[in-house]
Amino acid sequence: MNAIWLMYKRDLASFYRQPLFFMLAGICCLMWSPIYVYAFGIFLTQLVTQMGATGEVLSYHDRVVVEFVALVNFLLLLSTSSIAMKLISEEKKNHTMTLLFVSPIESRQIIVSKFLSGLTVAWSLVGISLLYPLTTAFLGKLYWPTLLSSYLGLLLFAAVYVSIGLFMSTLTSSLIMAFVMTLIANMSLWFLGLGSDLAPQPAVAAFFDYISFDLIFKDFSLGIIRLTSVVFLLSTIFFFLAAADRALEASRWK
Amino acid sequence: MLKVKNLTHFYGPHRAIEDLSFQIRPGVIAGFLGPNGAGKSTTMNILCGASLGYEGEVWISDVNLRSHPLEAKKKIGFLPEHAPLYEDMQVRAYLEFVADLKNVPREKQQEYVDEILHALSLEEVQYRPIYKLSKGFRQRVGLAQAFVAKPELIVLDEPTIGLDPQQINEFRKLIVACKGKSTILWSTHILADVESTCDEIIVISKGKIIASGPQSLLREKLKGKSTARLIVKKASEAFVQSLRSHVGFESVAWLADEHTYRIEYVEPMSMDLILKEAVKNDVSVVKMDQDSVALEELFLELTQSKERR
Repeated sequence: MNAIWLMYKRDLASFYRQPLFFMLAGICCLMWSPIYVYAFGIFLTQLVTQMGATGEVLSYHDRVVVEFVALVNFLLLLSTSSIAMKLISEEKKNHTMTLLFVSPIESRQIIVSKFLSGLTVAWSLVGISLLYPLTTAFLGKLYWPTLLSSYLGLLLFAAVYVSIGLFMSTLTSSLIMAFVMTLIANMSLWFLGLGSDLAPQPAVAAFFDYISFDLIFKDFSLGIIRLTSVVFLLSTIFFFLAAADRALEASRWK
Repeated sequence: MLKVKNLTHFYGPHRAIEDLSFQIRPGVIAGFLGPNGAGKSTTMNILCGASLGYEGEVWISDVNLRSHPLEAKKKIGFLPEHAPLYEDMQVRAYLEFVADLKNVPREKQQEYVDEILHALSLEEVQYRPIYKLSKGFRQRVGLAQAFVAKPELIVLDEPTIGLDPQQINEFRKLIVACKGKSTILWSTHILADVESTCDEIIVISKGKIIASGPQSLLREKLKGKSTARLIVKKASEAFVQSLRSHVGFESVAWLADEHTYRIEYVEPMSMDLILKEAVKNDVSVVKMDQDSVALEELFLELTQSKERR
């Protein structure tokens, strides 16, 4: 535990000492700000137009937060690819992995500490994005359960992206390769659900629906938290962490 | 202290090291010599637990590296070919981090770090980020991380690369100061380093050990023929004749310009005997010395004879 904490602290300090995190946060804010303001503006316009009319009341969450959370997720997918390349690939490239290998530490401790540090950085970005709905909360009533459900989804998806990135990072000492491989792997997750449309049988279609990241994310955005989805995401994280551990151990046998 | 038995390692189909077996006693400084590509770095990576795909066994202070890796690694300090430096960290913070990784008790960390900073003259840069340091300083930080936890076994792969002559001298002093406290195994191409500091030598070529043992014993084993040089005031035919009568005498040459006799002999003839004959024949000896086999010659002899075979 001490070794995990030690490496976690070092890696986290390294992330915040170097410009990468601030560049990512800056790029995210540059993208989020105009889009959020635009979505919020349209919502306000529609709200004014609807004033006095009867019928369905416009929902701030549905019109603004859902769209915004989808954008946050997309940028998170890109950002975690950059974060992942620093996790193991950079250690290999700088030969610092040797220091960890010859220290009294197990591979799984290295993996857990790297995952936690990458996750903290990714969650920091999620935390920054939360400021947007919070700053406009005073203009109307925020529906907290749906907002929290959306953000729980973001946190879990960020963890999935980081675990996949960590695994990819163990496979190469090239930062660019780690970035590209993580990006491709994370993006391909979103196409898993397509199998549902192509499936010949309902049971197969149901399986693809179960593992469809698209559907799972939509559920979280709408405030629906399914235990099966949470278990699936946690299993995915665990699977890639275990794979990363094996890949790291295997690299010492070459 | 360090015991290696039948160590073999493959890189794909290529056998990098083959059936290496050697021992290093506690507190001894051992030089690990061999031409490029001989398998030195591979061996060192295995000994320190960085590389796992090996056959054979390694014991560090009777702890088996394969069956108790964490326990064994607590006893090791390693400077690999490329110093493992977190360049964004300050020197002191980095050494504290390494000490922490190596399980040095918190109350001793500052003391250990201060000691090694002082020993390697790193105090002036201790609060500077490593990426801002020169190559020589970085190498010293790399050395410092290997020593900081005061491990029982210190393995150094080409540690003097990038150091200037003064730093090399300081490094030699550090190594000598560790004598008796830690066991040191270091590889280098600078044979003078090994000659002046190492008690034992292991010579490896093409993945096989071709010689190992105390430096003096290896010299003895190889030298066979000895050469004595006597600077005298005047040549003496009687002296030469008396030398010729001894068993072991090989040849004698008079170098008139240098007023020197160059005498080649083998056992049982000795320097003592030559000196006695000089006194008996009334030869005034100004200076007398014996040519010893330089380590460089020893190294070349060993590695080239291996290649010839």
